[in-house]
Amino acid sequence: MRFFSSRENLLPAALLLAIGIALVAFNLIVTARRSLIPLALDAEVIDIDIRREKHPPLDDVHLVTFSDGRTMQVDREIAGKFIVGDQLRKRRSETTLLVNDRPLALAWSADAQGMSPAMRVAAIALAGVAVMAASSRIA
Amino acid sequence: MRGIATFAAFLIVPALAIAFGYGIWLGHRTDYVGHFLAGAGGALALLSIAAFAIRLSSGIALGWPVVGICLVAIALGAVTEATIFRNAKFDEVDFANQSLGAVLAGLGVLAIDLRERWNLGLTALGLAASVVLLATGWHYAFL
Repeated sequence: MRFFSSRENLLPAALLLAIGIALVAFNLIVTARRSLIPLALDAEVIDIDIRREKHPPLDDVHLVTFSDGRTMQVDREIAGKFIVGDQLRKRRSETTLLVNDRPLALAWSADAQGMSPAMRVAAIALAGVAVMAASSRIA
Repeated sequence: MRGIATFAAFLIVPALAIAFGYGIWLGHRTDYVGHFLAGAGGALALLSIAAFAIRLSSGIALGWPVVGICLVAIALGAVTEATIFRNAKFDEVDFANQSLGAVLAGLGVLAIDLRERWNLGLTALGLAASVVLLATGWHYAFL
């Protein structure tokens, strides 16, 4: 068996696959950032806003505004661990957050942990269909 | 029959594989798989009609039009996520998941068309599948 490449589909399929892989990476980055682990922080909490979504409390949105101007969505597991006025400090990629100089252990949320294998499956499936979109088998 | 098998192999099976991935590892967030399925269904409806229209009216390659339609579907998804489906905020992860569904639908249509030139039967199949995907997606995203 051999394969021939469909020239007319090669670039469009490659572009769609690239968009798909970018979306996979985006999902991984966004869910990881919500744990605060990848980020460096040295700011005071000036507002915490909890907003309801479709399946409360599972998908409640916890928005934290920092004194450096950033407003970020954070995992609900850690959003309840600090209050307005707390000073938060950590280095990039560290799993310990200092809340008013008291250490708080950070962990990857169920979302971040689940996203990694789920997006691996998505990337493999997209790549498989992309190969099939750009090539056909000759018996 | 061959058209149905090709359709299943390049669209339904990969969509189910990805959906099961969400279900197994992100089962606590049914809205994620809901958005993925709805994105695939919405894009597939647009792609099915557009692919048939292109195949009827001209002999041009389907590749770039499919990319364009996928981008339109992704943009429509962004607009609906920011407006009528906006609850707490514009959810970037919901947007990414529904866009992944649109990308899979685009790649699937290209893979199918390469083997079975897109025809009326595939259009009907695509529209029927899109209704099922949208209804299932709605169920998991909102109910």
